[in-house]
Amino acid sequence: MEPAYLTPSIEQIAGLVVEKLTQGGKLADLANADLMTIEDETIEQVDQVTRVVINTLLRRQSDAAPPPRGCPKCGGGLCEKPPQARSLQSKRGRVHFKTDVHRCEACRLDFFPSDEDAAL
Amino acid sequence: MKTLRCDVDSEQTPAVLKKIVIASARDRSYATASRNLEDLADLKISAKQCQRIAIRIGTERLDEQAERIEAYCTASIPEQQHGQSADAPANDWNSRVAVVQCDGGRVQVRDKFWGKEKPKGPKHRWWRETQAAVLQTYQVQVSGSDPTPEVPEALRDPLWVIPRLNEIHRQHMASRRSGEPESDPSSDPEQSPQSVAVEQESLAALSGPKDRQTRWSGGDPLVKTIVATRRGYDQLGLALAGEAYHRGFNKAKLKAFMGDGLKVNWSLWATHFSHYIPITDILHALSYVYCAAVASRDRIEDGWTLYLQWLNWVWSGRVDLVITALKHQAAGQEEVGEPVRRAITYLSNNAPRMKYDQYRRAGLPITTSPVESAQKQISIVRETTVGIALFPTGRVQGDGAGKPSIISRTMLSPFSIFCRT
Repeated sequence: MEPAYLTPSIEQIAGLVVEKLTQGGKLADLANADLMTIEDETIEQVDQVTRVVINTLLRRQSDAAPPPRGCPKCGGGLCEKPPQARSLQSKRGRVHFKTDVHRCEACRLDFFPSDEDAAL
Repeated sequence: MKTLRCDVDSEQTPAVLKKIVIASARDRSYATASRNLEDLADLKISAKQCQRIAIRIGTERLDEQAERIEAYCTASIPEQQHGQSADAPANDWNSRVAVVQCDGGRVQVRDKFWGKEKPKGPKHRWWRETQAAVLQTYQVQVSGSDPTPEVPEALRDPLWVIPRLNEIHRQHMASRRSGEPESDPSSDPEQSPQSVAVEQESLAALSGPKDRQTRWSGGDPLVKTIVATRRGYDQLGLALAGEAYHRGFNKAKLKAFMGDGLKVNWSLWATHFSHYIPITDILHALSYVYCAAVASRDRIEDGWTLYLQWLNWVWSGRVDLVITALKHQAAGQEEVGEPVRRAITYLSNNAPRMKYDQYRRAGLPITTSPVESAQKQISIVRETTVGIALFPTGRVQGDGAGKPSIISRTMLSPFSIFCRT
């Protein structure tokens, strides 16, 4: 874990969003922006941040998942396949991430590391 | 994915799925749900997607219900009465009561004869019965004394109580006459617009100053589950028993089974819930008492005064006094009026389940308003719009604090519903 002085506070993160919006962003002309515009643009910007955060967390979770011990069906060996791209609609827009896939050639099934029961 | 609790082929996160299902269940059509999701939640989900997701989740809920019925049915009889399922919530039942309420409703359903010539023989009807039940927990503080010894103002306020009692009475009479409910008061020949206006004036004259009371039926509502079906009361009983077993209701120190005076409710009680305290809904009982009181006097003001006296007796659990008074009245007449005769029968049949003073002392509710509300939601809000189809069974579930959230809409074609608009 990073030391506390390296962890940005909420105010610091918010400050970055403000800079992003006002310095050449959609609220560059802040003086003439009405409340609806400010609210919409802020939410859109923060939603983008939210999606990036979710993507990153999902990638980290995938990286941290233990490697599969063997095929859940037959117990045989699994070979690694290229990670599969996934896209899910979240409350804050679409999030994209990749999930590891392993294949059992004997069973002809693909398995996902965090779900030993699911096979496609 | 197991870790994420998200199906590998899902296109939405679980939080979004929940919003879609809630919108699909609460709104009158999938198209409305789709529009509301976009307007209120910034989610672009087509009506077809709403339908597919709602049906998929609803089917999962039905499978869940079947599993719970199976778990209940395979348990031994002592286990059915005193046990609970392995995954029942770990509730502290010291200050909670468990209440089961059931009721029947009506919907119009298009069947195979829709658009064709009706079959000959007995008159063909579109009305079908829906059976619904609510399983509700309440937070109570048992003090041993009656928290509401005085009759609540609402029950003594003619503007509040008479329309409700008349509505209950009309439903009973309509069901008896033709098996059809009269949901629209204007369709009642005895309830012309003119008579409504006169009744309102009479009520205003009888009404005193307004003083709305605090809750007088049961404690604070906690978690509510609704079980509904169109497969009949046997199926409802099993679904209800399975759900109660799953929620660990048997472990509650105090539990009640509530219904109106319908015999089938008490058959369900005897079959699955005989270890629960049976309670008859007080408003149904009062509808008979009010009609008998008004029918017993020439002037409505005198009938109202008599109702207030009988209301006090019913409220304090002395129903036998009302029955005695009614029988005394009937004895002095050559021909006993229908309202009086019906009230005597109803009160005599239900008297053992009308000890309202005792129920209040124990913290138990005395009205079935939660299940009446659920029936209204099922029958009126969700099934009176074009394009809505009816599933054979359904279930909605709450998430605590008396604020239910519908998590499934279990409606299947080919039972499409009449459009009233």
